[in-house]
Amino acid sequence: MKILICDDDEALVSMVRFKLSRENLGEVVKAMDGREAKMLLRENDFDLIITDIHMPFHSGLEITTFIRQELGKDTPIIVLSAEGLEQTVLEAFEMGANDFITKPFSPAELAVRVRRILKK
Amino acid sequence: MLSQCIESITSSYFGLAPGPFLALNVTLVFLSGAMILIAGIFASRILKSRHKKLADSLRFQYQKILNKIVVNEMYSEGRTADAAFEFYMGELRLYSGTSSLARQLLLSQILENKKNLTGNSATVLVKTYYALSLQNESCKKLKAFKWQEKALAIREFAEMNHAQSIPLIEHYLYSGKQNLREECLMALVRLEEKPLSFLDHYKGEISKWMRINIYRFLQNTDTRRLPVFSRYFNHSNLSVRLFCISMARRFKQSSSLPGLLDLIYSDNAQVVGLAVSALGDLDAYQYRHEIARLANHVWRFEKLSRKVVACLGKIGDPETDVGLVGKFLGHPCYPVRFEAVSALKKLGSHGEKYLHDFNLNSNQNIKPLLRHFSEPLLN
Repeated sequence: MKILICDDDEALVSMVRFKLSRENLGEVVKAMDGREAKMLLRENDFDLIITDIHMPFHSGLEITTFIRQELGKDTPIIVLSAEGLEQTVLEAFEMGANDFITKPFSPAELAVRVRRILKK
Repeated sequence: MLSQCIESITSSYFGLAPGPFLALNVTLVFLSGAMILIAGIFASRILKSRHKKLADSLRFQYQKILNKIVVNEMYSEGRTADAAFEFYMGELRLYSGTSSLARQLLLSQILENKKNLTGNSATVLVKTYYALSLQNESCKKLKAFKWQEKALAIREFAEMNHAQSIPLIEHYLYSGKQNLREECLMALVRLEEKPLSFLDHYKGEISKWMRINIYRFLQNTDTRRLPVFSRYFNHSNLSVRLFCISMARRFKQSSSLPGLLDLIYSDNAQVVGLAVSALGDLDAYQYRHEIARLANHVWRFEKLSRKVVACLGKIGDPETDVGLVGKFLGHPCYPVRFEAVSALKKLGSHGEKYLHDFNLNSNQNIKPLLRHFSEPLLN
């Protein structure tokens, strides 16, 4: 399994990578901004994408639209954001996200959700 | 004497006249000055880049250990967990040593992680903070000269639930720097056993930013821990009074209804307006007569008229208050007329009938208002 995590918060990316690797959920690749995420998405196939909303260059919602519309892929997407407003959550789901997690969150909960999505 | 001396030296050694020699000297001095400056800049850059490298490498090491601590949440009970935790603390101590800089970096890395985490993972980071006595670093920061450092220290205490620091934090409640005051206030809200008990003696201003932040914090607090806001309705500080009325309204504290009723007779228009809105939001039907009486006296005040009309739309009697609300359709201010349309609509069939009749009798001059009201994008 190959998971892409897109977030500009290094501490968070490091912690999520560690947690998911520890749970044997697969290889975790990181992208620190929207541009890097798009580049990786064009060149690789991922089994799951975890993305923050607020990132430099392209937002997580733009990434979601990019995956669904430009790449035409149905790869599961988990949106991770500090902004838990109803409007934002609905927008994320409308754009094709499969799950939404509000920060702060529990790494254990994230692992459970990832496992459920990957059906491992 | 000096000029003679220079003259003799220049003529005997260099064969130069004193004028060009002086110019040469000045140039040399400037050149060497510039060289020293450039060297200084280079040295400072090298030092900065070394410092950054060191900081990055320390952060990386800290993060590796913090990941293990955070993810170890599964074993949060039992001896194995304690032993593992102690081991990680030992590792962190080894990296941070006694250097204040290294310890500050560790502290900032812990905070950076904690902001994204909840549950056991966040708790274990707080435990780490105390196990490594990082509260001493926060104390040092609190004594710093820069207010930004002080604010950071206060935030650290609040994040780490360091209740013992309340007396130290209270010291900055009336600081000249607004940001520091606000940080201080937020920390007190988070740290005090009974949230907002500092309001008893608070003499400062509660800004909008603070109101929003306090409200957001209180939203996640057990409602049983919330104070009875009506006890502050007669506070000597107007800012506290206004804040507590809006909190009583937000948290739907029905016990504050009698207090709110008293406030509609206040001599401060802001207090009256907020109290009226609160009574409307709290569905205080029993006080509709008082609000109706007040409606007869607020015509001259636009904002107050809007609030009273809105309140009557919520708690007014559809049969008796329709005429009173309807009067405001002739108010000179558009927002009041608009609010009156909204209130009449809320009063059900009686209100609708009143609007229909008014529209016919007034030669359809409220038609644009009705159109505005039914256009969601304009509301």
